[in-house]
Amino acid sequence: MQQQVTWLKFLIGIAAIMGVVFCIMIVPQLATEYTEVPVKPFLWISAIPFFIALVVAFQMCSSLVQKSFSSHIMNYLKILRALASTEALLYGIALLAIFILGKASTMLVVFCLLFLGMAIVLVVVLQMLYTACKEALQLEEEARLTI
Amino acid sequence: MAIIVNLDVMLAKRKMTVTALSEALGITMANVSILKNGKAKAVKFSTLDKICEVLDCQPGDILVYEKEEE
Repeated sequence: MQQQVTWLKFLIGIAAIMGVVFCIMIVPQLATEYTEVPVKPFLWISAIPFFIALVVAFQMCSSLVQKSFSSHIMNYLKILRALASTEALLYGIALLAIFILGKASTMLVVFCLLFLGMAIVLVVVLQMLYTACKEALQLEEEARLTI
Repeated sequence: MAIIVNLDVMLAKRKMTVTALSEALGITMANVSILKNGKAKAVKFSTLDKICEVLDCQPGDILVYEKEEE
């Protein structure tokens, strides 16, 4: 388990580095290309839930070492689900705004759809994981209280 | 729950302590306490078998059904 957790933490670190690189290097370039829409502030704001989610995932990994199914893990999953929902909502609003403002260039729409799709998939997976974890916790409690 | 565990009553009748029972049954004190306090969700037949053997009683002496008031 410790080895898996270390690997997961390493992956979280890689994701964080990629996120920072994206925010520092890619976002300003995108902002210069699409001046008619506030790309830079939006992407920086949408990066906040992403980085919070990485911190929460990192803390969750530490909790996994102690116990795989616990109320702590459930809480972390709930927070992650809320963050993914926020991300989906942000990109949904952005997509709507792009269409309303009439600035719907193919790249912007593809970009928003991609992030929206990923966020929705994350919400679904996290919800399923939350339900499975809840069930497992109940089973574990039943097994513990079976004498 | 509607099922009441009367283990403490049987223990008193047999003048036996929880420690002695847990040693005789070969299960931990914590588990005997869970059973005695009615916090157990299920009882294995093997455990019930051992309890009946040690306390020289019937399952009905330990487990009682009481209808819950609505």
